[in-house]
Amino acid sequence: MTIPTQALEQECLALTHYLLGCPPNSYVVQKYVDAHHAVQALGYGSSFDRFLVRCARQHWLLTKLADSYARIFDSQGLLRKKLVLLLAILETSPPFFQAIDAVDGGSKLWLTVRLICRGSMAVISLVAGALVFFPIQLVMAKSESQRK
Amino acid sequence: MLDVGRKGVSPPSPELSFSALKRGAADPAGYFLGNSFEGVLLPDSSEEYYGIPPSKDYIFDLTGGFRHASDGFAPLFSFARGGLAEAWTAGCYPLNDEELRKFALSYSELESSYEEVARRIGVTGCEDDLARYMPVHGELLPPLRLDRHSQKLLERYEGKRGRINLKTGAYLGRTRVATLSRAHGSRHACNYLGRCLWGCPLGSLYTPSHTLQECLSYSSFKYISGVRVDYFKLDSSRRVRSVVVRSVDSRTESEFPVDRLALAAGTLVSSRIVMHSVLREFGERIRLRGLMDNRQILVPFVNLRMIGEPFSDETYQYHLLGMGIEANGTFDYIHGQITTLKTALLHPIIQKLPFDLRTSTFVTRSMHAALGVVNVNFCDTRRNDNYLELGDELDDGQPRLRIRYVPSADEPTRMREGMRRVTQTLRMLGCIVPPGMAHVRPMGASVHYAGTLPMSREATAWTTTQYGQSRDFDNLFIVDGSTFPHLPAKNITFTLMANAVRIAENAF
Repeated sequence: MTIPTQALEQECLALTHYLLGCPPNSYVVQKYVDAHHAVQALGYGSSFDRFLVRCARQHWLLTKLADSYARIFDSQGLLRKKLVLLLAILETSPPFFQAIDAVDGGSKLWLTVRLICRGSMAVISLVAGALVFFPIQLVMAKSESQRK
Repeated sequence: MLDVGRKGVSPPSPELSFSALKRGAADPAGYFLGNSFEGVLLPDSSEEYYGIPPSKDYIFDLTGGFRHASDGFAPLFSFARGGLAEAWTAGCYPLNDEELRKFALSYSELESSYEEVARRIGVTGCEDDLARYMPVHGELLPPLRLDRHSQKLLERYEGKRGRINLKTGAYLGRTRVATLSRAHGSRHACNYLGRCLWGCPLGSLYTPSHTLQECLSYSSFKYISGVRVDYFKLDSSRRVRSVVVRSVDSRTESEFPVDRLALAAGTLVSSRIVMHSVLREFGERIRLRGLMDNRQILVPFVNLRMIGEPFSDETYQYHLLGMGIEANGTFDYIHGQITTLKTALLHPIIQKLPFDLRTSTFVTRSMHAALGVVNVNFCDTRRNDNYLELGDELDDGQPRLRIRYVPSADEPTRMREGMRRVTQTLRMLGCIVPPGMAHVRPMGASVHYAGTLPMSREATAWTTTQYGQSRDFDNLFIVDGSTFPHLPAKNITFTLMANAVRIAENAF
């Protein structure tokens, strides 16, 4: 399935914003588009996979819920593949690699507090993501199997 | 020398460090991930923690090669100049008397060859606690500079040495590595650029293509590349009279007369050449038994004292520390190479954490300097169940290589016990092993293949003498891992080199 370049550019913008909190530069966008032409695994997925990606494009909060859900319940799905691909591009591209490599300053106590907060948020996102996406996945899987 | 001999490209900007290269290269993602993004480890691509970097893809390019069918074994082959060791991590560990017992050799018979190899390629190391497992030979260069994490681990070990030795039987020390701490011939000393995985741009990390390059400077050495050796022909007295090669491009066959043939294509390919030759000459399909490989477990760990610390990319990237654990006697020795995480790509690790990718990125960033992995190696023994043979199927006129491997019955027990002691040792060093993250690599992944044409004192078929001379074909010498009658837990490359030197000096 071929995805229009413009949709991929928009997707790259949304996912980069989610991962690093900033927009990508033209190099990253071009690499992201090129990868979709080069890597076959990014061209297919179930209807639920495509639905998750569409949701993730809408708003960073939805991206967070969709990603949290996908990590546990669809870990090899299309959304995770796209996110991992983008992360790989970002960690090898200036200036974004610095944001991935740099250690946040502060004391160990402050770091521990932040790790606990982030961990708790991740758990909350997972629960919320499961409440939103699990019923949808069930329904879509059922209708897909009926169609077959 | 007959070789396929694929070549890689020179690393870009050899003066730049890992981060500087990301910042300064024209197409950094293209270099680190490949033009087809083959360096990206997608969630379903592999269970490994790292992939082969695109700059080393040529090492595993088997275009023009042969097919194989494997059962219980995931082999790697190479048609590169220098072979599979072009992608090694430079560990150089001499075997001791106990480990050499089945070789019908003693350490003293190999010591001068170890020294000769160390003198030629440059091996760093020192005498420390690991000397109880690795004899200290001459010609060692001073060790490389430790990165901060490795230094902290070693300091912690030194502070708790007695308790660790007593409780877990583990000893820590510096690994011996074929990476230069000072200039050696035309090769530079390691400049700590952090680019080891992508190919040392200074030639500090030794690879066999350096030796090939040196050989090419001798007028008496002739190198013919672009050909794959398929089989040899015999005369009426069962002596090898010629070698038949096939061009990897044109697929045409040609023949080279030989006086004596030194076969060093690696265990799997050398065995295939012998089996194919026997099939052509006598119509007989032989089975070469005793295939071995080291089982490896990757044990990731987090050093609690290093959490939140910054990391430096200007460090040596591979292992600098080693761990030796005596199990049931030295013969069952377990060998671990400790690699602290520095400049490897992070996306393969980040995606494995049980959180969304944004949270996982934050967690990994905070833990980067605290992460490490122990590559735990277990020994292997020759068993009849594990063999190579040629199948009936023909691929491009060539019989298909069949590989069968079944682990020993006691392997699960040995691995469990080994893991328990490695984990306990890491705990005593102030590290934790995240549950469920240890990865048992598939058999074949360590690329330490050996054992199919073993050297033996008994003159039986499909064995060699102590000097690698075939007992079946008088003028055939086998100088690779095929002749190893036992596979200790330590990486065998250094011993392969020393054994080749020993054979060259004694038999030629």
